[in-house]
Amino acid sequence: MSENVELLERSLLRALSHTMEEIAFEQVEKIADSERIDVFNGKLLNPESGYFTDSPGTDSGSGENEKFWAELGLKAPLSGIIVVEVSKGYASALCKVLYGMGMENPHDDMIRDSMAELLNTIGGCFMKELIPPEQEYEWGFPVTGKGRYETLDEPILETYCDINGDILKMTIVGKDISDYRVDHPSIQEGEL
Amino acid sequence: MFQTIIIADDSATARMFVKRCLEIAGYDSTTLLEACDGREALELAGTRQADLLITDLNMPVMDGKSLLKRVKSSPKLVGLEVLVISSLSSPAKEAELKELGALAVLSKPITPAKLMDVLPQTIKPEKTTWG
Repeated sequence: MSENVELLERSLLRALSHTMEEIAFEQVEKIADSERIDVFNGKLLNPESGYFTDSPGTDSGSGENEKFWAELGLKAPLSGIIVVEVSKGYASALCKVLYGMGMENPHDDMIRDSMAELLNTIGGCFMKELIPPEQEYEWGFPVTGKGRYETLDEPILETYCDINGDILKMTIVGKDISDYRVDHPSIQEGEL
Repeated sequence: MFQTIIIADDSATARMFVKRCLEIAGYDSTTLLEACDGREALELAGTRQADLLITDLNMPVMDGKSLLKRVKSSPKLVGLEVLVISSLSSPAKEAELKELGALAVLSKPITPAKLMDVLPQTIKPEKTTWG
């Protein structure tokens, strides 16, 4: 990972951390446990073959068919995509927090709307980290989906976070972002 | 204290979250109306006696900035204050929106404390006795 992408990751994690603390009172911690990440991505190690195989529906609903994602396209001053992806279980729990719901289960439309709002908020915090205060920024409307998130372009960053035992994945796609010179003082000095 | 508030945001989650923040901030007996874009908010403002409009910036059909301009240029809506809450706010954008007449501009994530900082005090005065 290049130094610039490391700074982008730090900035993204700070934005995520701030958002989760404010809207859900939850702490975010970056994870590097590859086995947990593999399970989140719908892969399980087959002890006989030694290879990872697709395994939907594992780890409390974190299989590939039980995920929700939201994607936000950045337009200016840099273009690219940021994506957030979580298990259905966590997406549902977050939706209940944001709506102030009781025990009833939210339907998929509500969950997808919550995911969009979550990413909108993270995106705003992320851009404030990157873009000088005097400069404006612009993006589109979030797009949401259920199942595995797929993109034609190679991600420049994939990072996984632990939120009270659940995994949240964030992805950045777009060469324009990886080339963006990250020199905002708060990122250079800040720590997650 | 505001009696009727319109919340304009294309996200139902965001509208619900703002409602909850307002209730926690003391606006629990205020009439809260919802609109999912600027045009709907403008129609509501024209038909209901709202005194505060809380709006997002990035909305389909009519965005928050256009809505703010329309409200501030309408003689019928002279008393309607506009509070902007958005992920898209920056110091430059904030200055521009205040120039257009926004009461305040808040960045998401919103909290009850942030609302209480910019809205009139919601604590009811102590009852006084005369004579």
